[in-house]
Amino acid sequence: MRRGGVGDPGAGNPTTALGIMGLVPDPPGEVLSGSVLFEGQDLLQLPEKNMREIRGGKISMIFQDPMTSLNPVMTVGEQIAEVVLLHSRMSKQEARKKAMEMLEQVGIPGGRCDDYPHQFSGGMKQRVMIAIALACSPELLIADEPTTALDVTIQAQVLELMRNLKREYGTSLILITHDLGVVAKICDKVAVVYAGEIIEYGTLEDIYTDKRHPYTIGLFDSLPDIENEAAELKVIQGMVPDPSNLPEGCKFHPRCPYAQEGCKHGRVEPVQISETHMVRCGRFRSGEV
Amino acid sequence: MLKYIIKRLLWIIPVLIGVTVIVFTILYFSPGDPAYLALGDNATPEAVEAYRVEMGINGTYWERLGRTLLGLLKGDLGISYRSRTPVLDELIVRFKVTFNISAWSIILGILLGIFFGIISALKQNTVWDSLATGCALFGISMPMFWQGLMLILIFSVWLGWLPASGYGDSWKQMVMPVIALGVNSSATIMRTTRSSMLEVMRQDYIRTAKAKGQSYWMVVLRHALRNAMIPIVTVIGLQLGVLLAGSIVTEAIFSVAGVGKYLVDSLNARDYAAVQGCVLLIAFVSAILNLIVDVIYTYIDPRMKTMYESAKVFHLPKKGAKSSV
Repeated sequence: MRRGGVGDPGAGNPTTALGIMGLVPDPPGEVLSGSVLFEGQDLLQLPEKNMREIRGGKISMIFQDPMTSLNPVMTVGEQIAEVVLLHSRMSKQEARKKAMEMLEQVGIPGGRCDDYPHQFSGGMKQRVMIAIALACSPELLIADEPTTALDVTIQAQVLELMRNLKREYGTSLILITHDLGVVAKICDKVAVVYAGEIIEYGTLEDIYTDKRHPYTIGLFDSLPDIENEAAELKVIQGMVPDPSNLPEGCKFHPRCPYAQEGCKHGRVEPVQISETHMVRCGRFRSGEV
Repeated sequence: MLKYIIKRLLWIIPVLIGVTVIVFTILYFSPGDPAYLALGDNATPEAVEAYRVEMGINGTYWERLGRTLLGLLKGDLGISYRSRTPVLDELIVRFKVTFNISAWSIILGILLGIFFGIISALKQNTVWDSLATGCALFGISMPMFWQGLMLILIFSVWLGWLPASGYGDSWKQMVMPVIALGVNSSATIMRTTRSSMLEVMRQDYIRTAKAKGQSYWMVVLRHALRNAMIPIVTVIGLQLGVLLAGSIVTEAIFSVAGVGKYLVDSLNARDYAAVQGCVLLIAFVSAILNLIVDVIYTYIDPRMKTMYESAKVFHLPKKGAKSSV
């Protein structure tokens, strides 16, 4: 399964991902409530020791900025071998061999495993990150804007690589991105996130051809259109709310063109509008639409 | 890399010549005449002249400077006016003492500094952090001679555990000089370690290491400390210089017969050849230590190595122009 999360910056996507990994920076962050179910276990309840076995082994993560995500004083080979040594019983030589194999897998000559990160370009660094993430064949790969820091041609290469390796390793992928094009290219299911909540969730088709939530509609409308020569892009009015001071009721209501009095109070529960398609909007509950 | 080291070693030569010229000039113009000091105020002009010739301090400024530099090239630091023995021989004996104390001091300083620096960074804003930074502030603020005197007061006068002065009879004599010097450097090293670790622990690659499932202490020691070491090594290098200067004070307080005490005594006796020898030795040791620190950099930070090795690519010095290293 491939799932994409899309949303404004500040919508809480990356924080959710870090929450799954149990890596929310503390201070200032702390997970107060909720649960993360993975293979029937609640990851938030797991002791740190068991969580360490899951991190990098069963769930691994690719971060946004490849330039700063690799340790500058260790060779890339060491950094790949490190995760292998942690989660398998390989000897150091075997781990090194595995590191070279992984480098080849992501399209970097294995002989470069004794080079340091500063000797690689941004795209290659992200490939190394992918090699680290996939080295232990995880069940789940969380990619937090893996291509945002890369230029467009490299983006395409990296996405293609991720798609192929995912197929090869049978890994599930959660992709967090602002880029609807990237989602369309890789994902099966899409969750649109606003102010820390999933406001619409469905298959790629549900979201791209049958979007229902006013925010999702606004998000797609704001895409530049190559055939429309309008001077100004459409935008969603207003600003993303401050996460520490969210509006009451539907969190989107101050910006929503369809907002009514009822939207300002009470929690909005998700509504299942088809077998695969969920939307969190008051208008669907009342049967208005 | 080898080429770089050789280049740096060659650069020590002009440094030493510069130091010699400066020290010689200062001493030349400083008041007090060693010949009268040695022979007494009532000495005859003939006796004074004979003494000057014997010690090589006759003639004009340029003659004497030339003689000093020529001697330096031959590895001859001149003759001590007081003992009438070669300064070099005196220095070698005393340097062993100073080296011994300084080495133990810096080891103590590094161990204490890095340990408490890490603790206080990891436990930022807790009681432990305040305690450690408080002690460091105390260590930096209190002058070394005062710390030395307090140590003597407490451990020799009140408790009677350690001998107040001397060197070489028992290891106990080394304890207080080493503590006085080492604690002082550890304070600076601790503060650098703390700030460096605090910064490194927030870096993205630390998050990557945690995401690999690495244990907390392995993340701290393998990933964070190795990166944090770059500024720490710089400070240790600087502390080595401070240590050499500090040994002058410490050796005087604890009456340790090292280079520092020799320098002070020679200065009081206007034994200029010896003073010059001491300063030269300290300059030489500092230069070597700096070189060692720079080489250590390349082992800690591979980016430095690339920089050194490709230094030529970035600034080609014009022919005949001096390049700065």
